[in-house]
Amino acid sequence: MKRGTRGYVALVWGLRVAALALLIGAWLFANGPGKVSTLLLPPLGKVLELFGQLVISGEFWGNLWITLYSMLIAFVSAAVVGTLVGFWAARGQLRARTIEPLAVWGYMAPLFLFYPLFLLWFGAGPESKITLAAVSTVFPIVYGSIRAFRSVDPIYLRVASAYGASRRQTDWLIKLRASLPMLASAFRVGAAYSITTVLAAEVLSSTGGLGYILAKASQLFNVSQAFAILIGIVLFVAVLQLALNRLFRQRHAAGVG
Amino acid sequence: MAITATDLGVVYRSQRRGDTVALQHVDLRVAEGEFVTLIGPSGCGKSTLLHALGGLLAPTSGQVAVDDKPVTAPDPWRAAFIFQDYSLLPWKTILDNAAIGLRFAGRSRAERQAKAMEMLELVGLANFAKAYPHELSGGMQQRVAVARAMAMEPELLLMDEPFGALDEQTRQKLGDQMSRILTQNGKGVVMVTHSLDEAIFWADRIVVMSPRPGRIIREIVVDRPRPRDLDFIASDEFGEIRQELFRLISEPVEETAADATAPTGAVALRGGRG
Repeated sequence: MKRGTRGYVALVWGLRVAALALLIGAWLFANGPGKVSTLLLPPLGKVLELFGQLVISGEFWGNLWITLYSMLIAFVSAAVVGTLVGFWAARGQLRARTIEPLAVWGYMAPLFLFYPLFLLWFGAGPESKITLAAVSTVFPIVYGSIRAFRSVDPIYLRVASAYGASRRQTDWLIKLRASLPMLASAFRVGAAYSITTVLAAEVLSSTGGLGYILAKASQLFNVSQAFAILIGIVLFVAVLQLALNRLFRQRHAAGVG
Repeated sequence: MAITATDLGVVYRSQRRGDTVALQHVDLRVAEGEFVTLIGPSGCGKSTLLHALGGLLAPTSGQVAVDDKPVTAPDPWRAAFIFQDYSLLPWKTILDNAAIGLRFAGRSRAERQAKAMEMLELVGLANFAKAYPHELSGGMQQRVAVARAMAMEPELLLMDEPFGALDEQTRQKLGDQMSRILTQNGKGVVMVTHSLDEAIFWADRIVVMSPRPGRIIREIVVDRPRPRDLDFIASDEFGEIRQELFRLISEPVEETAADATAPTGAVALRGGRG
């Protein structure tokens, strides 16, 4: 079947639903004939019931808000700083050569291990999560944006030059626009770093957030509750992903630039 | 406006491959409204010469001047480029692509849209103003590139194998259309081509270049008013010029084969840095 036809779209969605059904089937099998202990894997029915209660409780939404704004502040500040640094660095060979390996190092290094220090500096509240997540996120964005700005097709720069663009016009109207697709993928990686860092930090030590209530439920051996919260987190991330897709959707550049 | 290249030389410097002399001792004068074609074996520096004429490339020695004023940077009002690969901006509509020079010049939205629309009408693409480049065929994209250049009302058009990437039929049709437009507007044109027929059919004067280092080895005047009918191709005059060109270009073939690729990667662009 051809991509983009109605039948193809239906097939894709069918397969997605089938994958989900398979997961649910495996869960039900483990609960029933599989005889897996309910301590390890609570019954699906109970988890869903608890999830229902969770969604109508104010506690869930309050903590979701804490997690969401921590991520957003971390991501947006890292995106702005990272893009600016990347843009500045990409303008010179020397700068790019100096900064790119640093960015790669920060990207690969487990900066999360600095969390205890951040707790010391900023306390157990959201501030320590926001700063740690912003620091973790800025590196992949710097790296991605250096690469994005340096790989602008010289054809476009030649057009800019031949048609009299000033340096500023070349930067804004040509370079920035031409590097958007690669910038978008740097932002995606950055968003993943922000989400993971904030949630993991909340699980380890915090005063609120989805990671916090998850850790609390686990520590009290309330496994069904923990699973219900996990479902909530998974759905929350799925919504974030949809929002990101919408934000970075390429409308015109079908395959080019 | 006449454009003059005096003792022009261009050397591409590369640490890995050493220096490549692309142009050497080139003297060329293009008079107002004159149509000049540049022809020669691949890698002979035709495109380099064109880029240097437009100020897109700084010559290593010699100079390019317009009415005795040296050319140091591209100026689309003076000489507008039409590139071989069209090089439209894929994220802009056809109308905005045609208007890009006016956009860079800071003209108002209304003014540049009106001018761009007029030029799209000239090349028969007014219906595609709202489309994006990938929705157009190669021939149509090249017409947009022509409209983009014409929108600047330049005194000179610099065309780098403008029909090189097109199939024979499209080439002829577009060529015919273009020759009428250009002749009616009285524009001076310098066109790089590797097609003998194109070089003769369009030109007031054919400039033949040698393989690298590129030098001008011959200039042939085609003394027949433009625009020309297709009958011209069947004429004796055309046949004679064609034969001579063929001989001039095919002679040093062994030399060319050894280093046929032009070092385009080493071309330093003026203006925006890469």
